[in-house]
Amino acid sequence: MLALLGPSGMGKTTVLRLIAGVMTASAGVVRVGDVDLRKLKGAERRRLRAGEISYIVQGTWANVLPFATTVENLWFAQHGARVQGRMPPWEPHELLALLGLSQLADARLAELPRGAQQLVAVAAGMATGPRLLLADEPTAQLTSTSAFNVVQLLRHISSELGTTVIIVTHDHVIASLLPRVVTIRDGRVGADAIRGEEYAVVDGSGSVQLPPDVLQVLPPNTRVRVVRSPGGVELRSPEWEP
Amino acid sequence: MGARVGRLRGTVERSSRAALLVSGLRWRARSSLAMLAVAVFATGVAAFGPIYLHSADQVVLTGTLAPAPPVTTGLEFFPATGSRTLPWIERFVRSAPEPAAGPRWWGKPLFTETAGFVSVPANFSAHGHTSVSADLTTRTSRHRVPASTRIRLVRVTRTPYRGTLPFAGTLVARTGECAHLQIVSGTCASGRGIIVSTRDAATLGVSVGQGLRVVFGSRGKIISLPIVGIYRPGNPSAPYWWSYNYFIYGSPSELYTGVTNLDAVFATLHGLATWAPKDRIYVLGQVPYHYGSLTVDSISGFRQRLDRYESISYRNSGVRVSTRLLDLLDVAGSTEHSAGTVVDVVDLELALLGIFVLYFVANRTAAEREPDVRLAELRGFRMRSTIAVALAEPVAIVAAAVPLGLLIAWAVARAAASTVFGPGVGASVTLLAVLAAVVAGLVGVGAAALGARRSLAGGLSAAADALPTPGRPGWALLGDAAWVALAGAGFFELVVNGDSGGGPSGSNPLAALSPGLLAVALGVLAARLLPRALGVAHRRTAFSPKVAAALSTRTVARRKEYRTQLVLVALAVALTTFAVSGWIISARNRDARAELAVGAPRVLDVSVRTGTTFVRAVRRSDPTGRYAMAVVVEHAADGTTLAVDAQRFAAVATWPVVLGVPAAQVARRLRPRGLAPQVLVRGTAISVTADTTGTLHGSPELAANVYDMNTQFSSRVTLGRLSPGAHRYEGRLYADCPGGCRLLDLSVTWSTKTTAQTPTVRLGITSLAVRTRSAAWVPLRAGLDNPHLWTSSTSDRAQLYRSGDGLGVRFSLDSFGTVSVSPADVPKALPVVVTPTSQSTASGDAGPLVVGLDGSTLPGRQVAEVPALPGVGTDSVLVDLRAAELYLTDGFTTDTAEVWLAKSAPPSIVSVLGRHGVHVAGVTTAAGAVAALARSGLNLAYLLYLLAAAAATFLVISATAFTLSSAARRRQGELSALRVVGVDAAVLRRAVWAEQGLVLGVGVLAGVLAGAIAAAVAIRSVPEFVTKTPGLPLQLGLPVAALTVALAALLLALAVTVLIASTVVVRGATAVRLTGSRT
Repeated sequence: MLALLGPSGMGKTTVLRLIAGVMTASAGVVRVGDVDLRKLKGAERRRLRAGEISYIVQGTWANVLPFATTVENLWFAQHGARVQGRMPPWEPHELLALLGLSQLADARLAELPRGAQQLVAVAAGMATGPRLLLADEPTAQLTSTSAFNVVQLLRHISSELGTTVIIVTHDHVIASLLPRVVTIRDGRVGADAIRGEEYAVVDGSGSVQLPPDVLQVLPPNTRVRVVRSPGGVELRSPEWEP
Repeated sequence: MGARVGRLRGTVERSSRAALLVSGLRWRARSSLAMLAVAVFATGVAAFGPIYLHSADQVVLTGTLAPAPPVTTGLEFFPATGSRTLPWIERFVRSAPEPAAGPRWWGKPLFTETAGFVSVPANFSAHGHTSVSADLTTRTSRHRVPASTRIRLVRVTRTPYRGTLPFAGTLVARTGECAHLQIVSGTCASGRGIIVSTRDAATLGVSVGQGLRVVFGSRGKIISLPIVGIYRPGNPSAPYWWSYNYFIYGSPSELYTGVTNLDAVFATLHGLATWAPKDRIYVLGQVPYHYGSLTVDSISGFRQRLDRYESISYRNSGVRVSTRLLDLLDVAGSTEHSAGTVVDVVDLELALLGIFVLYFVANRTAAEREPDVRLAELRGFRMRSTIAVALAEPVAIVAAAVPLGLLIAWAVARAAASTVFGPGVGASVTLLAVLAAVVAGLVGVGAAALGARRSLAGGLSAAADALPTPGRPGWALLGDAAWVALAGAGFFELVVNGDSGGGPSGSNPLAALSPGLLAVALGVLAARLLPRALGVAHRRTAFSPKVAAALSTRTVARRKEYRTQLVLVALAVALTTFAVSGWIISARNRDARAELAVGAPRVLDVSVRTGTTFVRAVRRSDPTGRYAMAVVVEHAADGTTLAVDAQRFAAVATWPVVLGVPAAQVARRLRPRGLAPQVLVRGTAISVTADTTGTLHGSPELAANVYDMNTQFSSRVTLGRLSPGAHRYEGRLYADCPGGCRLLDLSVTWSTKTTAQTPTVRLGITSLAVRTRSAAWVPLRAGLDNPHLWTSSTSDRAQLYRSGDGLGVRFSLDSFGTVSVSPADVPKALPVVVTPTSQSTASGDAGPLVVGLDGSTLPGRQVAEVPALPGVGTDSVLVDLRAAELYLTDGFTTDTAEVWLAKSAPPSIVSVLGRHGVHVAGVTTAAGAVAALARSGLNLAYLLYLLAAAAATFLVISATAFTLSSAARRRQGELSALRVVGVDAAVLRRAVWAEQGLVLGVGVLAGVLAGAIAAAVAIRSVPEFVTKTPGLPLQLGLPVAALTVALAALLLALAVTVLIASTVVVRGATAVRLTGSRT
């Protein structure tokens, strides 16, 4: 389970769309499992979204039919898989029971509180039993309790159903609730925090984004010397050297 | 097991899909209902056309068959060869084809048996056989007259019966004959005897109780037929007679040279079979059509069965079955075809408008379904399934609209049927109507899909990238150019070849399409030009204090949906302008046509009791002279004579101003002037006192000819041979002239032996007297002392002069053998109003020729010329009835007698006329004629046009309101933003009003222009709008009312939009600003 964290406009959602196959990467490689998404045609991407990958976009109403009941929404979410010839692993009622949302089964979405609507949106995202669940700002505009419930549900999905979950958020509190947080800065991975421990990440070109506190010490265009030491790699400024 | 699970899963799938569909429709109830309404409209109007046409066809069929006489619509059965018996023909008549269910096609049959005979003179003493040898049995069939003309008895040249001449006659027995003959004396024919006509009786010198000696065939025995009654024909033109003329007294026999025909002698079927030899009997069966039994649906089966019956009857039994009903059905079919063309065009136009609006609405509401489509894409639906999500609702709505539209169309047609089509005409859903609704539904699905394509365009990635969907201005421009080109071509075609009205091809479909084509073309042009014009206006107002003007011009110039709205408005207004213009022109011409065709507000067909003077009776019935007028119509091959009581003509007759000469002036000119008073004789005998001088060769005989005005019968009273000196000559009057006889003339006839000299005779007539019933001689006022009051038809050989206190006549006993003098009470030429047609067809050297009331040709003197005459049309002349009667000298006439009534005639006039001997047989009213014309096929078709225009206007106003309302939320956002930056609410309101005013105003202007141009160009090529009443000038001016209706439509549309703009948009925007929420 992974959170993509970062301020608005840093490219979190774009990353999610690239992974979901909704957008096509103009450069680089997007690989989900063994599949290189860039090489897939539109129909194959749709097939992927109907089964392996599920994408919960930002805003509840874009993920559910407001006029339908919870069960109907789950049925609708599974319909894509069915027409692609892939039988969902569970019926809507079974899934709701697995997720502990049976009490919402027959409720019409438009009549539910916003928090419950978002829970149903997550459940709809899980309707086809995907191996990868992508959620874009699933807790946006929710109360803290509702947001917590949503995160709990996603953690439950990840732990109990074995689904890989990637969520995009700009909320550090929400991100802190997840085991791993990747921070995006300026379209690049700035940091990767695993269980509270934050790491810088060396990208394919050998670049590393420095944490903000280090940047205060080493402002842009500062010349540093990269020195390998027994404990690791050190950055040394010539100005500091005697 | 697996199969069961699969089936179960399929059921769940279907129910889930249906549940989602219903939920979605309910969620978007407003737009769903709007789409449903428009789809119902489109499918409904498509179905309404065939339903309407079916009912209109039935009206046309009934209207074609109803006025047709039985001879045209009924069946006639007769043996192909030889003579047959009544039971033989009856067998076939009774087996005429009838429908398996529903009303019978044929009414009560009539049977006729005829047998030709020759009358045997009283002094013919031969026993056993006559010398005539020809078969007379088929003679009646030779006197069949065309059904389209009325029967007029031939003019009788009275042949005084000398007791030595045979006559040709026909013994006739016909079912129900007694009801159609007036028995003057005795009883109607029975098994014991026959009845003869008054003319036959007078000529043959027989009466009730005597016998008529006849012989049937060449070698028949002389038998005496006992006479039990004397009759006069009731109405020889009555449908009962099936256009057979049984009253041909005085006409020359076609079989015997020099032999004259008698009127038919009537007997019973039994009597005829008793007297006539079987081989001389001609038998005829007739079955009248049962009116209203045929429907447009049953015609095809009827034709087939009748054709089969005709061929089988002839092939197997030698019976000929004759009818002209099938020809009439062809005529009705032709009219139906013309009406059908117009209905199809109008229906198509309206259905297309409905589908266009459906596309418009679907396009406007597509955004509401867009999230569902995006979600389907997100969930990995196949493209097909995604499209299904996008189109399921529009398709479901249109699918539901098909039966609904059909039902509503049927209900509307049924509700309006009695008003539009008249009583007894219903509305039924035909297969064509169902097909039309289904086709409209399919096209509607296409339109809805096309409209909803916006929700599919771009897809998820484009939406994600927030890229605008690129438009295709090239295609739009091409489409607009196609419309304009199409309209231009149609317009050109109409201008060049459009005047097809009244032609055999009927209406011009292009004429019906023209307003739609022109409106779309003008609307498209306006929609293209308006943004450019407003762009200029916006640049001028953008930085001025006129915020409302700047906002409105900018909005209208930039928003594409306003272009569609403008075209729709133009289309609806054009249709309305055209339809209302056409309808008003049509109604105006229809009224004029009907009133002129009938002649007066009410026309009574009357029969006049024997012994009643028609004109006098009518004048007595209406002493005021303001509302009733006696009229006689004489139909002849050379034209029609309309004889009216000129004193009352101006007050009663319909006389449109467009005829030119005022009615009062016409009436004044019709009355002849300077005539001598009539010499009326009432009594048992007449005497002439005359002084004769000169040599009297050739035994000259003095006689008086008098005319009984009641019986319309003239008689010659022999007064005696002239002898020199003053003498009194007397003669007995025939039938005493109880109602008054007019002295026609005094004549002297002599034998014309060749002599060397022709002596001159002077006859001084000093007095005329009549002997009353009390045997007293009463002198007649005859103006004998004034030769100018007398005239002579032989004026070249007889000179009139004053001889003391009497009238002197000088003449020579020449080879001509006769001279006569008569009162100068008959005009030398009858004053006559002619029409261009009558003038061209019947003109003599000295003036127009007029058919007199007895069928003779009279000299006329033209006093006026008008385009057409009331009641009789173009090929006719108008004369004064009293003046025309002066020419009657012999025989009885069977002209049509009518009483024309003005609007002010009281209801009691019918009974008053009856008391004076004038009995009403039928009534025709101008209002009825108008109503009948209003129910003609083409008129009904154009009534649909009017309804279509109203429906189109309503549809467009509704669509405009819906669009405005559905766009309200977006507009509220924009306007609230403007409110935030300080724009006043009143300014915003004015801006929104101005937007709608601009679009509606330009649309209405384009529509009125298109409608007016279409009306000016196309109406003349639409027969019903301008159906030509012969001679009546057409009035094609665009009525102000049409523009008024267009204006009313504009005001209504403005009111609706202003209401919505004010309440939904502007007030909503204020609320948004205040609450800061857009929920």
